[in-house]
Amino acid sequence: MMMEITFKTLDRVTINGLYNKNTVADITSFAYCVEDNTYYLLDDPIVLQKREDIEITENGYYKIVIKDEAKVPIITCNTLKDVYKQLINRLARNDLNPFVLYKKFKEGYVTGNIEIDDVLTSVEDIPDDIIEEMIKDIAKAEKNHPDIFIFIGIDILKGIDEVLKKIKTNQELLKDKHITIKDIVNDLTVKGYKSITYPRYHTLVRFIEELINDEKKKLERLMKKQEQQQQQGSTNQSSSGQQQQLKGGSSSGNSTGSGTGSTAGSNAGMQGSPSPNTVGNNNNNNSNGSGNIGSSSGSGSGVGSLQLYAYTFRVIVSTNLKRNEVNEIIASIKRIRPDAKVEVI
Amino acid sequence: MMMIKKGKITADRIYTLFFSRKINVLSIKDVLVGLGSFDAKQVFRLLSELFRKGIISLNDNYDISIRDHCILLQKVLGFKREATATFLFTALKCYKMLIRGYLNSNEKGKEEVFIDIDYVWNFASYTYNKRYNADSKRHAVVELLKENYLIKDDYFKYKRYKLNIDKIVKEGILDYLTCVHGEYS
Repeated sequence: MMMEITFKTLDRVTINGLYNKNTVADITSFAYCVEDNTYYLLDDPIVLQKREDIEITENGYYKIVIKDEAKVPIITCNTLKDVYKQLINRLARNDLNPFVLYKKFKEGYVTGNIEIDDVLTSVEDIPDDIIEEMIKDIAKAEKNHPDIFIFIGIDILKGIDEVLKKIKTNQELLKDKHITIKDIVNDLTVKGYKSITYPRYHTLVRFIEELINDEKKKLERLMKKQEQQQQQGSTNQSSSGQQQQLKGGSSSGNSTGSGTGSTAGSNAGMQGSPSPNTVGNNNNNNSNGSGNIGSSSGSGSGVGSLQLYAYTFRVIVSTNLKRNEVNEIIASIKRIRPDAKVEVI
Repeated sequence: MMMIKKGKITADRIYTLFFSRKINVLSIKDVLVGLGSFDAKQVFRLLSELFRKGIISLNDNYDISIRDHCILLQKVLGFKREATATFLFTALKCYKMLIRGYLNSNEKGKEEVFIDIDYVWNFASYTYNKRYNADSKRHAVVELLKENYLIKDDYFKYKRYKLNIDKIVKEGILDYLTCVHGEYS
């Protein structure tokens, strides 16, 4: 017996996967919703595009004439949520779009499938904008690659949820990265031979863990570098303290010491030092505020002025130099060149 | 009919053709023209062999597409082992975000990309289904270090290496992989 049905469709919950691609454009069942007195299609709405006997009415409904009424069962459901459950029940074996399922779940629609509902319940909160963005992204992939299968597992939702949690916990660490969920998912999506495979839970979790780990390690390295610099700074400070002491000693040496210049001169080996390192050291010492020993004027000794002093003397002796010996060496240099600046490093 | 001169052809020439064109799909005509004057029969015999090995395939338009990019990279870059190419191929996928950051930043703000070798091997295993034994993995990393695609770092001494992105870019590897892994910039 022929029958005309005017019906509506629910949102498309599937993607172009392995099962949906080869779907024969058969209309297999309808649901009658008592709540709004409407018939709903319980098949993937994509079949409508493949059929030519479907008429679209002015108010957005579809109209079809069923030739054999007995072949197309009509299930009666009390509410729209029951219709949704029936739809999922029929399409559960197909490739479902997890993001559409989650969107519907947030609107209060449960699928009635224990496994899917478990995952949807376990996901704490993925913001709507991310869900919308991902739905658009998948639609774009379907449009751009109509011949390619799309593989996406429901656990991607758990993965995204975990990623969001980890980003939130490590906000400070990742603040310069400007990462978005869309970027992460796209970067991990594998475009293969006739297929696009979206990342699964463990791939997403490993990715974000690795990213955080990487950032932590970089930060650790930076801190260690700073620590080393600080240590170097404190060493310089202590040496500048020594220099300060020596400064006091040198003035007394100047007043008392005499006649030892020849000994010091014989011990002092000229290094011949316009090397960048030496200049760098000088600059470092100067910038750390160390006083210049034996500087008679005490003025006009800027950072740049030190670079004019091109020689470094290294004193090589068999035993350690005593303080007064050091002072004598300085005094003897000053005697030869009163305008010289002498640093003990 | 296409006039084709007789001569010897190797699979490497086909790989190089795809690599230099920075594309993973070419029509048969393009392949024949790209290879220059060769015996068409020999070319088809070679292509069938590569198809049987799962290295290339035919798409719906009967174009030739590369299926195993790791083999292509191995041959083009002259690696001794497939594992070496797999490692590089996978590292350039799973560190895509950091590589993009490196390429998009200016000279001063460039952050080196450090890779964790365990993470890369895991990714290769569960995403590309490429599994190797410990020895192969070790040799692959050694080969990459030797070829300077990976650089040892003074600070990260345990299973972390710096990726030599400048070299990778210079050799056109990223240009080719854009068609597989997507845009890097």
